Amino acid sequence: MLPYLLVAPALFVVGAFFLVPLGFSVVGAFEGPAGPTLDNLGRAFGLYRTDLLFTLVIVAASTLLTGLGAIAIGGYLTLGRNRTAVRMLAAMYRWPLFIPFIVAAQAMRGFIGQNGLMNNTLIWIGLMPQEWAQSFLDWRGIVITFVWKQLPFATLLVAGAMAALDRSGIEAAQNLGAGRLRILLGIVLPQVARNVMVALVLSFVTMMSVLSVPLMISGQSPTMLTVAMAWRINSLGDYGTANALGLVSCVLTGLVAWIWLRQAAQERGGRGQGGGAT
Amino acid sequence: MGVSVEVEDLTVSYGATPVLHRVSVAVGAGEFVALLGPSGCGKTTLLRSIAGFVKPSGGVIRAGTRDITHAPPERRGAAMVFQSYALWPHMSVAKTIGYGLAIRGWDKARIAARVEEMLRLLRLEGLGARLPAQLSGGQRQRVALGRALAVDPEILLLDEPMSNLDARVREGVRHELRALQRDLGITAIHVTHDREEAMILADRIVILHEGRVAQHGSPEDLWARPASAYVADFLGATNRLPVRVRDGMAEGAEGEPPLRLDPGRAPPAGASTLHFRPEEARLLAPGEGIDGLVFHGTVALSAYPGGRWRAAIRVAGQEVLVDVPERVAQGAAVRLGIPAAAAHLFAATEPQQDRRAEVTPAH
Repeated sequence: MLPYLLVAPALFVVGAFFLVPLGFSVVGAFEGPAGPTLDNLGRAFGLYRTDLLFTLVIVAASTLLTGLGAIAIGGYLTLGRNRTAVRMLAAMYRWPLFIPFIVAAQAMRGFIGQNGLMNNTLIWIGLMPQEWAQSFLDWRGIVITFVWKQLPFATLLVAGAMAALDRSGIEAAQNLGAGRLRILLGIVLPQVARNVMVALVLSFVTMMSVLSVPLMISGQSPTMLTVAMAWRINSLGDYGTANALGLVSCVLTGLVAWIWLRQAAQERGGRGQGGGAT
Repeated sequence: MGVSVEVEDLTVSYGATPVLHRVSVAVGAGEFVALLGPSGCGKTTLLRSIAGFVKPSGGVIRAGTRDITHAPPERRGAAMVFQSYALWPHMSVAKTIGYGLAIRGWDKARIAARVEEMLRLLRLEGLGARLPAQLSGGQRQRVALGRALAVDPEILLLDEPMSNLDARVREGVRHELRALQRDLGITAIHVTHDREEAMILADRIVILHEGRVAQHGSPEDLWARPASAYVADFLGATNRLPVRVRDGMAEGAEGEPPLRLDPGRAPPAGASTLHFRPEEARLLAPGEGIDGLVFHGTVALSAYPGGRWRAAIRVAGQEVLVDVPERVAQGAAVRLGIPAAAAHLFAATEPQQDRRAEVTPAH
C-alpha cells in the first residue's frame, strides 16, 4: 500500500497536468465545428510550414551551440591547469540556471539591441565604430538567449559526468604525451557521450516549448511555433489550429528525441533503450 | 634502454600536510627498484612526483642528466602503469596499446606492426579488438603494461599494478614482469605494500616510513640486517621480546648463556627489544645449545596453517609465534632458541607502541 501512496502525488501531477491536457490537445487537433476533421492540421501545415522549419533550424542551432559550449566548459573544468580560473568558472557557469526564460529574454533585449549594452560598451571601449552597431533582436537573438539560458543546464550534466570519470584514465593519456584537446576528444568525450546526448535532448525539448523568448526578442516573421500557437489562441480564438500546431511540435520533438536516443543506444553496443520525451 | 633516475631531497605537501620529507633515492639505469611501505607512507606520492602528477615543493628529480623536476608528465620519458590499470572503457585493446604511438605521429601500418608485437610479447594475441570490459583482470593488467611499453619508455613506473589480481595470477605475472624488464633493459620503479612482491621483483628495495626513507638496499641485505624496529617488523620479524643489553651482551632467560653482539649492530646498553621471524626461531631439546638467545616459555596454542605447525608461546607475559615441525602439546614448557643471525635487537622505544596492527601483512 505504502509504495502506491508514495507514487500517487507524482502520478496525479503527471496525469492531471500533463496527460489530460495532452489528450485534450490531441483530440482538439482533429475537432472541427462539424465533427472530426483534418482541416486543422491542413491549416497548420499550410500557413506555418516556414515557421515550422524556422523553429527546427533555430532550436537545432541552439542545441548544437549549447553542446559545444557545455563540452568546452566541462572540458576546461576537468582538464584546466589554472586552478583559479577553474574555480571561478565552476562557480560562475551555473548562474543563468536560476534565471527564468522570460527574465533572460527581457535582459537580452536590453543587452543585444541596436543601442543595447553590448554595442554601447564595445563602442565606448573603442573596439567597434558606431556605424557597425546593429540589432541582434532577430533569429540570432533567439539563439543567443537560448544558448545562454540552456548552457548551464547542459554543462551541469556534462561536467558532472566528466568529473565522475576515473581520473587515472586522463593521467594515463597525459602520461603517454596526449595534449589536453586530444584527451578531451579522444578520452573524455567518448566516455560521457551519453550524458551529452541526454543534456542535448532535454535542452532541445525545453527550447521547443519556450514562448517568451521568441515573442520578446524577435517580432519578425517567420517566427517560432509557440508564437504561432499563442497568436491562434489569443487573437483568433482558433483552438483547433493551435492544437494541431501543438501536436506537430510534440511529434517532431518526440521524433528527434527518439532518433537521438536510438543512435546513442546503438553506439553503446546495441543495448536497447526506451526513449522519447515531449 | 633505460636511464638512471635520481631523486634528491624531494619534499611534497598536500596543502598543509607534509607527505614526503627530503627523500633521496637513486636508481641506476636498467635497475628495478621497489618502493615498499604501508599505506600512507608516501610511496605512491613519490612515484607520482617522478611521473609528474604531483608538484614537489622542494628537491630535484633527474632522469639521466636531464632535470625533470618541473617538466610536464608527457615530457619525462616515463610510462606509468596504474593501480586501476586506467584502461579506457570505450577503446579496443589494439587502439589502447597504439595510443601513445599515434600521439607520436607514427603511421598506421607501423602502429599496427608494433601493436601486434606487443600483443605477442604479452600473450594477448587475438584480443586486439576486445574492449576492456571483455577482458579478465590479468589480461587488463597486461594491456595496461603493453600501453606503457609500446612507446619504448626509458623509465617504467608501476603503481601497485598487481594488487587487483588474485593470488595465483599474481605469482605468474611477477616473474613475467621481471623477465620482460630485464630483456628490455628499462629502468623500473615499482610501488607496492607487498613485501614478497618487492623481494621477488626488485634489485633494490627502498622502504618508506611516514614520508622518509627508512632503509634501502638489496632484498637480502634488508632481510638479514634491518636497520630499525620498523623495518624488521615490516619484513616479517613481528615477534618481539624484551631483552637487557649489558657490556655488548644480550641476555635471554636466566641461566642461559648470553649472546655476544656484533659491535656494529648492537643497541646501546639497557632495555632492548628483540625482533625475530616465526620461521627462524626453533624449539630446543633439553640441554641443547644454540649460538643465539634462549627463552623459557609455555605453549599457549598450536595451529596448522599448512606444511608446518605454528605455535603460540608465552614468554614472560608476551606471546610469540614460532614455526615447529610437529605439533606441540598445549601447556608444555619449552625452550625457545633464536639463532644469532635471526635476532634483531633495537633499543626499546618509549612509549612502546604496537605498530603491528597498522602494518599490512605480507603473504
